[in-house]
Amino acid sequence: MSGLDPAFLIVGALAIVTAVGMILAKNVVHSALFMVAHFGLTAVLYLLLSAPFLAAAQLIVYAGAIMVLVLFVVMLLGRQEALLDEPIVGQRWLALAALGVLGAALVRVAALGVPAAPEGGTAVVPPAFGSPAAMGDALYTQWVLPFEVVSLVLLVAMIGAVVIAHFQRRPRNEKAGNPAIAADATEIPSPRA
Amino acid sequence: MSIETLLPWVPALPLIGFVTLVFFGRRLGGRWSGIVATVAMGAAFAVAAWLALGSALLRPGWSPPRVMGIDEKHVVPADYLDHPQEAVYHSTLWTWMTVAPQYDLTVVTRPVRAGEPVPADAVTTIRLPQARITHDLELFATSHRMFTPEQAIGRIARLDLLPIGPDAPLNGDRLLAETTLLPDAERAIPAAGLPERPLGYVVDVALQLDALSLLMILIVTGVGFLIHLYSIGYMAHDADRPRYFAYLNLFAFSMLTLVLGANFLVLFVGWELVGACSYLLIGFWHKDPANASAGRKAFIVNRIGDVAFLIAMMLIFTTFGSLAFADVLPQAADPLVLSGGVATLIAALLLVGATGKSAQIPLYVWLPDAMAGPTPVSALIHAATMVTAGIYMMARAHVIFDHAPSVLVAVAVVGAVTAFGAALIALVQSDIKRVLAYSTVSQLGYMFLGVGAGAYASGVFHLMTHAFFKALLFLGAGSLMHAMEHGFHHGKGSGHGAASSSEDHDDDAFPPGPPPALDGIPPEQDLRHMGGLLRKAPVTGWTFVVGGLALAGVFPLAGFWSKDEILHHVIGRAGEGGAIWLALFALGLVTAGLTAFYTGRLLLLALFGAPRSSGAAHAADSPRTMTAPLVVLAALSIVGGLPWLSGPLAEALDPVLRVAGHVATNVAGSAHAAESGPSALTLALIASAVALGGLALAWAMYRPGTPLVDPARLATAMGGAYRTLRGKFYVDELYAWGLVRPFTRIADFLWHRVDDGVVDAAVNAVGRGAVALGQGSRRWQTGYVRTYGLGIVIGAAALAAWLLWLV
Amino acid sequence: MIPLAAVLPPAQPLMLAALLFTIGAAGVLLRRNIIIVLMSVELMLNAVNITLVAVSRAMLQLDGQVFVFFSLTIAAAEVAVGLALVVALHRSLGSSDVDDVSSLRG
Repeated sequence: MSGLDPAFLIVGALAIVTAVGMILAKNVVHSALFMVAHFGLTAVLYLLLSAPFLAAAQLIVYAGAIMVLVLFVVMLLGRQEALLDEPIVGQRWLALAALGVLGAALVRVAALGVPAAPEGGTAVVPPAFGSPAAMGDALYTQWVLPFEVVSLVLLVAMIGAVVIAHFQRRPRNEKAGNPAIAADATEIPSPRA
Repeated sequence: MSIETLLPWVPALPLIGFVTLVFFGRRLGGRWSGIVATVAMGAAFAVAAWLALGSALLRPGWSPPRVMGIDEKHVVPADYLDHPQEAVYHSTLWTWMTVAPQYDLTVVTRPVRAGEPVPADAVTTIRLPQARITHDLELFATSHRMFTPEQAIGRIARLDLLPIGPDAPLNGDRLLAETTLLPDAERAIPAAGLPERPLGYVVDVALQLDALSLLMILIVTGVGFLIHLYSIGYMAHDADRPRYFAYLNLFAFSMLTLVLGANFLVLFVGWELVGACSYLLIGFWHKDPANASAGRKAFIVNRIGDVAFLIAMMLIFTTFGSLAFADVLPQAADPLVLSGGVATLIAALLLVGATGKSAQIPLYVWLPDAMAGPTPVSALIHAATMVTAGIYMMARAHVIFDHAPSVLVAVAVVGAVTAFGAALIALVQSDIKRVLAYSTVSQLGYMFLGVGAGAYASGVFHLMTHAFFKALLFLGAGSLMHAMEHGFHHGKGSGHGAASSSEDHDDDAFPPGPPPALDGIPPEQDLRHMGGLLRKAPVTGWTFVVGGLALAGVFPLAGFWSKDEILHHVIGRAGEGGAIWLALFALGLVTAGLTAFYTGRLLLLALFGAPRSSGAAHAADSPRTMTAPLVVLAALSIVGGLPWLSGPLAEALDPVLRVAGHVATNVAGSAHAAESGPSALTLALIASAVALGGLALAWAMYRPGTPLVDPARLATAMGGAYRTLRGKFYVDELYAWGLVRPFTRIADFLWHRVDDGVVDAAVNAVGRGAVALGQGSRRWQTGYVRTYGLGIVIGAAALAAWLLWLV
Repeated sequence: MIPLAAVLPPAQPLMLAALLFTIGAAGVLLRRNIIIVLMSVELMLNAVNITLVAVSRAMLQLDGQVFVFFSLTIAAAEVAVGLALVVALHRSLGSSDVDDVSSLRG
C-alpha cells in the first residue's frame, strides 16, 4: 500500500464528493442519501485499511440503523425547508476563513503521518488483523468492561430518546407547543426579519 | 495609707460618680443625681485635703527622699545633674504602651583601655528599659538622640544603673560603672548594636503629686465641690439633671487627670477630656441651636491649640526620648540637651496650645460664647479651672520656657494685650455673663503676663485667687439671674400690659412678666433690667460685692495681692532695662484700672440704684444650697490672697517652679525683681490708687440718681469707639470673614467638586463602566448555536495555526 | 514542506479524514437545517473514526479499531438522542431551523 493506491484515491475522492454533496444539498432527503453513500464509501475505506469487521459494523450501524432513523425523522417532520440563506452577518465568511485555516492545519498535520509499526517501514499486515475473530477476541477479553458499559450507555440513550420525544405531546395545530418559548420567540426579533 | 495609694482616688472618685450617673442617673432622678455627684466631689476634696496635710508638700524646708516612687517600671534617678530637688510622689497605675522595644545592652563595667581585649568578668548585659542610664554630659547629649555605635565609641559613659527584675546582674545594688565604649564594637556593643533610640520608653498611666498639682487639685475639688452644691439649687428645675451632673463629674475627673498626670501624654488626655466636657456642657441645652453651635465653636477653636500641643509633645519626645515629667524636665534644665532653637519651637507650640485652652489672643473667641452653658458650668469650667489649664501647663513645663526667652516675651505680650483688649470689651457689655466672660479672658491674660515675666508662682497664685473670686462672681451672677427670674414670674397672671421697659421707678409700674430681650440678651441676665438687687437678695448681693472688689483689686482682698505680685514682677523685668517690659507694665496697670471700672459698673448697675424691671423689683434671694457656696467663696476671696497664706504657698511652689540657676540669666527670678524697680509698697499704693480710681470713675458714671458723667452721652460722643467695643472689636466677624468663610468655601468646593464631582463620579463611572461592559459583551451571547460553534472553530484554527506556523 | 511521496502510508487516509472533518464542520457552521447539522456532526465523527482506523492499521495495534467500535456505538446513541431532541424541538418551535433555538441570547 505504498504510494497512491488507486482504490484509495477513487474511494477517497468519492467520499469527499458525497460529503460536500451532503452539506450542500437543498433537500434534506438528498442530503441523507448523500450521507448513506458517504458512509458506504467509508466502509470500503475501512476494508482498504484492514478493518473488515468495522466495515461491516459501519454498514449496519450507520448506513443501516442511523440512516433509517434519520430518514424516518425527516418523514415524520414533514417537508423540510432548505434554509440556504445566511441570516447571521459575517457567519459565512468568518466560518469559511476559519475552516480554511483549520483544514489547512489539519491536513498539514496529517501529512506528517505517524510512525509505523514498531518494526519500521510498512510491515506486512497479518491476514487476521481486524477480522471479526480478532475483534471479538479483543472485545471480550481485554475490553470486556468498556464493552458492557457501552451497552448500558445504549440503554440509557434509548430510554432518553423515548422520554425526550414523548415529552410534551401537544396537538399539532397549536402553533407553538411551549407557550413560554413561543412568547420568547415573538419577543426576540428574528434575525431574518 | 500612703500618699501614693491615696493619690489615684482623687480623680477616681468623680469618675465613680460619673459612671454611677451614667448607669443609674435616670433611676436616681435629678435630686439624687445631684447629691451623688456632690458627695463624690466632696469625697475627692476630702482626699485632696488629706494629701495636703499628710504629704508635707506644703511644709517649707522639708527635704524630700532621694529616690521616690520606685516601682518595676519607673525609676526616678536620685540625682539628676544639679537640678534642685523636688518633692514628688509618683503613683503608676499601669503601663499604657511601650514606645520603644527593649534592647539588650552589653556594657563594660570597669575601665578598660581602648583596643585591649575585654575580660569576661567586666561585661554585663542590661536590658533596657529596665535600666535607666545617665551618662556623662558628652554621651548624654548624643545618646538621647539618634546615634550610631560609631559615634558612641571612645566616649566615656558613666552608667548609673539600677538593675531590676529576676535576672538582675547584681543583688539589687546600684551599679556604678565608668566605662569606655570600645572601638571593638563587636564586644562592647552586642550584635544588635546600641539602640537607635537609646531609651526604650514605657508610657505609664501615672500620677504625680507635687506642690503645683496639689494646689491645682485643691482648687479643682474645692471649688468644684462648692459649684456642685450650688448646682443642686440652680438646676433644681431642669429635667436633665442626671446628665448635667454626670458631665460635671466627668469634667472633674478630666481636670484632675490633667493636673495629676505624671507625663505629657496623661496631661494631654486630661486636656482633651476637659475640652470634650466643656463642649458637652456649653451645649447642654442643645435644643437651642445657638448653644450647640457655641459648643462646637469652643471645641474647634480649642482643637487648633491642641494640634500645636500635640506637635510640641512629639518634639519633646524626639528631643528627650521620653514624655514623663521626671525624665523631660531635669533634662530640659540642662542647656546641653535643650538647645535654643528646639526649645523655642517647643515653647512656642506649647504657647499656642495654652492660648487655645486659656482663651488668649488669638484663640479667645470661644470663651465669651461658652457662656451659653448653665451658669455654674461657666463658673467651674470657664472661669475657675479648665481655662487655667494653659497656665498650669506652662508652669509645669516652665523649664522649657526658661530656655526660650523670646517665647516668654511673646507669652507676656499675648497676656498683656489680651488682658487689655478683653477689659476694654468688658466695659460696655450689657449681658452680666458676658462682662464676666471678658473679665475672665482679661484675668487669664494677667496670668500669662505673670508667666511671661518668669514669675510662674505669681501666675499660679493669681490663678488660685481668680478661681475663688471669679467662681464667686459667676455663681453670684447665676444667683442674681435666678432672683430676677423669680421676680419676673412673681406678678405674672395679674394682667398683661404692653411689655415695654420703663424707666419709671415705681415698682408697680412695671408690667408683669419678662420684658422682651434686647440685642438678643435674655432679660434676666441683662444689666439694663437689673438694679437695686442688693436689697432684694442681700446674701447674693453682698457676696457679689466682695467678689467684685476682689476682682477690682481692692486692698486687702485676694485679687489685690495676686495682681500686685504680677505687676511687681513685670516692673522688675523693666528694671533690668527692657522697654517692652515697661510697656507691658503700663498696659497691666491700665488694665487694672479698666478692671476696676467695669467691675464698679457691674456692681452699680446690678445691685444699686432702683429696679429697672419687674424682675428686679420683685426679686428674692436664692435658696441656701446656692447662697452657702457664695459665702464660702466670698470668705476665700477675702483671705485667699493674704500674705500669711501666699507666702508659704510660694515657698512650697518654689522647688517646682524655681528657675534653674544656670538659666537665670534668661529669666528674671523673683529674687531680682525685689531689688530693681519701685519698692513693693510704692507699687501697692499705685495699684490701689488705680483700682480706686477706676471704681470712682464707675461711681461717677453709674451711681444711683443722676450721674456726674452721663454714660449715654459719653457713648454718643465717642460713637465709633463705643460701637467697636460693643461689637467686641468685630473679631468674630473678622474670623468669620477671614477664616470661617474661606474654610466653608473650601469645604463646599471639596464637597461638591471633589467629593461629588471626582470621588463619587469615579465610583459611578466604575459602575457605569461595568454596565457598559456587560451591555457590550452581551452582544457576544447571540444565542445562536452556530455562532458558538464558529467561536470554537476560530479558536481551534488559531491554536492550530499558532502551533504549526508561528511557534 | 515534507514531500508527500516520502510520507508513511497513513498520511493519505489521515489527510482525507482531515478534509472530511473540515467539511463536516462547515456543514455544522453553515447549514441551518437542524437535521443536516446533526448529520454533519456525524460526518465529523466519522472522519475521526477514519483517523483511528488508519493509525491502528499503521501501528498494527487493534486498539484503535476497538475504539472505533465503541465510537460507533456512542454515535448510534447520540443520533438516537439527537433525533429525539430534533423531534421535540420541532414540536415546540414548529421549525427545524437551529437559529430559532436562541432563547439564551444575551
